[in-house]
Amino acid sequence: MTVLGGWLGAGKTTLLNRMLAHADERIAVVVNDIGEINVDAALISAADDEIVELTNGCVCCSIGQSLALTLRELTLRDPRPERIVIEASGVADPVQVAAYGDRRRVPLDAVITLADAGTFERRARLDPYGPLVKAQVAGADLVVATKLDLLNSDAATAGLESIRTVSAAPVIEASTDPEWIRRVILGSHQPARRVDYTPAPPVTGISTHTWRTTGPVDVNRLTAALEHSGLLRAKGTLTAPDNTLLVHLAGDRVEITTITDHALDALVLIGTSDAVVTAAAHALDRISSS
Amino acid sequence: MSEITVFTARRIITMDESLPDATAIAVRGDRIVEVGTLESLQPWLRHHEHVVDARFADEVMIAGLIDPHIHPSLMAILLNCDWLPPEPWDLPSGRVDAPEGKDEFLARVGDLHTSKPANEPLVIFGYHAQYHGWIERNDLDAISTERPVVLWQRSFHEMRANTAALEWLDAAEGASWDPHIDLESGRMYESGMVWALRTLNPHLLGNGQYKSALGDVSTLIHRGGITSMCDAGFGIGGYDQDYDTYDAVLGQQKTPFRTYLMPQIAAAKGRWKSDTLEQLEAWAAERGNGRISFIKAAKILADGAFIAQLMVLGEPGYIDGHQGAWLTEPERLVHLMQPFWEAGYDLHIHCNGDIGVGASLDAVETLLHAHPRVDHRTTLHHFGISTQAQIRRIKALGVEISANGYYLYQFGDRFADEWLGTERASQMTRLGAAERAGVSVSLHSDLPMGPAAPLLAAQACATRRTRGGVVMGEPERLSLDTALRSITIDAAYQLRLDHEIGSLAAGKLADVTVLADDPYAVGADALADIAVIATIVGGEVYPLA
Repeated sequence: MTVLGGWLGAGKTTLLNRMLAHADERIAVVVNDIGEINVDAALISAADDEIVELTNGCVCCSIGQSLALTLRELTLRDPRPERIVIEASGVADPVQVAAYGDRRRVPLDAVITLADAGTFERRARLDPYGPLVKAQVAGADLVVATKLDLLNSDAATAGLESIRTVSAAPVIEASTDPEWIRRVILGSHQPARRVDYTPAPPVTGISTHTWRTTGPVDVNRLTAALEHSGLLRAKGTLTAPDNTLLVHLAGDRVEITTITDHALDALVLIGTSDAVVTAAAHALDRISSS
Repeated sequence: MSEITVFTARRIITMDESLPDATAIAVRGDRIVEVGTLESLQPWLRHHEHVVDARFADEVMIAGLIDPHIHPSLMAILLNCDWLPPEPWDLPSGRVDAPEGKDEFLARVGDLHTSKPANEPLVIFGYHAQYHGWIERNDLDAISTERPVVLWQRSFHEMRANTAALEWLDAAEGASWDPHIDLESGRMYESGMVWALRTLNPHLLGNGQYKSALGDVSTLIHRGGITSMCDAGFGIGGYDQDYDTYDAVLGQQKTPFRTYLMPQIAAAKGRWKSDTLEQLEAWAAERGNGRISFIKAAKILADGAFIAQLMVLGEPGYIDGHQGAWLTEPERLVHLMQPFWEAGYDLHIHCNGDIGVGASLDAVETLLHAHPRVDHRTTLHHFGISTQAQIRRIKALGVEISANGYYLYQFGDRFADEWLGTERASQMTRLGAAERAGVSVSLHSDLPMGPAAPLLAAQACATRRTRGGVVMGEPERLSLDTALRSITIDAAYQLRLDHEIGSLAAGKLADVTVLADDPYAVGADALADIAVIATIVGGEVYPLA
């Protein structure tokens, strides 16, 4: 599951509508208000009954429903949705929402927090919500800076800087490119089995590189190479001495699980520049060659 | 034309300023013909058949008492539990004394365990860590490893379970879905409690138990001398199930009070996902009867609960530094309220902390600018912590207050010590300032959060004396007169029912509470000691045993 966080007006619903429009997988969404979802858009990736509205989780407001029960219900759907996106309330800490994914029944893909570059600095200073505004960004795996197009270049730079001061995770600029949605936000860009595949078209603002290896890799060294690599996303399957590793990176979050399938021995690396992905590829080369 | 019945009394407190005092009231059918004295009633009595009913001639009558905020469905669930609360309660099954401290609490759990049939689950409401110490799974396993034992916290937001109960509630599976279930300590809280309710709800409400418990709730409401109450948040247990059960129990002509239903917006949006207002109205139009009516008002919740200390406080916050929680984020309040506001509904906003109050007022101000209304009767409910500046703003925006009359009485001293400090705890439910500003005030119980006892609420708010006997925030006392208005005519006004109920005058519904003593004679300090003798609803007498 993917959790979208961020203060009110940061652009969560806009991004969610784009995810639904451009995803190449079946998505179920849990949102604050169904009315804001653009169900009329062509090619929406969610069926009507996979858009669920969740009222906030106080037991004395609704003794019959909770996010856990909603997630459980969605996973029992046939066919089971391939991804669940939860739009956290604007005043929620998305990390707390993501805790439902940490239960492992619905593994967490990423906490993506949106921050309005024009207002973040001011909101983060205002009481009583300032600490929450900062916590939403500080807890994210990926931070998307929005509304940069409304700012002149100096203000945009200052806005990005104010977000980066708070965020330990990569901060990226929002894009409307469908490929950007698929690769960066959904992280759904899989490595191809064949070496001579057609490369994906370039996307402004990001670089993509498929790193391939032949021998088994060590989990600890792999984790070390991916952590703090500056990559936005990495995904693929690698051979380990005893099994196959499913590798998943979303900004600050590295998740490595074991699976029974054969490995493709490849990782798709996505970063903000050629320099970042090349550096990450070199770091990975070092762990497989030694 | 049916005959007129004239009830006489030592004193009739009409709560109508034009004729505040009387000794006789003439009733025809369910309406009042005239209020006055046997002498002043003569123009009517000379021309119509009548009987004089003097059975209450030595008692005192007051306009029927109103509790504008009750949750019958929640109380019904709890009445099927055993009770060990931090304060004494009078329940249909008898009086429950409050255990003091952890040892006595656990001893009382042990007593319940030995007195119950083997292995029947034991579900106990009322545990409160501040009064009973920290109790978790191990403590309860020491009482029984075989029988499921569940403690349901007084704030309603949390449960503690023993090992057998965790198995009964399928908590291990629940913990794999919900982070608010901790198997080691046996804690299930907030959404984790919703998981527990999957098993508890059928256990507590199945097999006709909902109806029988609702009958017991009805007994409690009657005992409080209440002739009209409002379910301020109808739909919590599901619109259809709740309505059908209410209809079968509270909708009977023999029910000794009127029930008004105020839909809760979030629950309605869960039931009718699109065109919520239109669908809700169509659904409600087919329902209601002589005892149950829907009112053109809607409930919305801003910040968290008071007893759970989840209200959102501004500077300087809580003593222990914890944070409150939002039930509806501030900027979404407007969004949810708007369709109801524009359709002319009165909005009733649950808000407890000063930031919650502020966010609610911001929402009202935004709506007033976007879609101006006169006589909107927006009401802030519970009203735990507020500021003087907010009272001025409430006045300026034409907003009203329905306060929980019970917070200060039960929790004032304890909350000062651990959470709020003396100044803010002393000024919780700031009603004296509201009265001075001319803001309409009503008092409610929020049953099961407080007992359905309007005279106790009026006493608590007119004296600001806690259950422990301490007077807190004397300048925020209500006058005795306003305290009585807050459980009669002002409560009716806020529900937009003041043309029908809340005071005694010609043409209004004949709803009366019969008391053994005169509230003005005994004074604010002794209101709760006044015995309720009977209620009269629509001219029908419902004696209290």
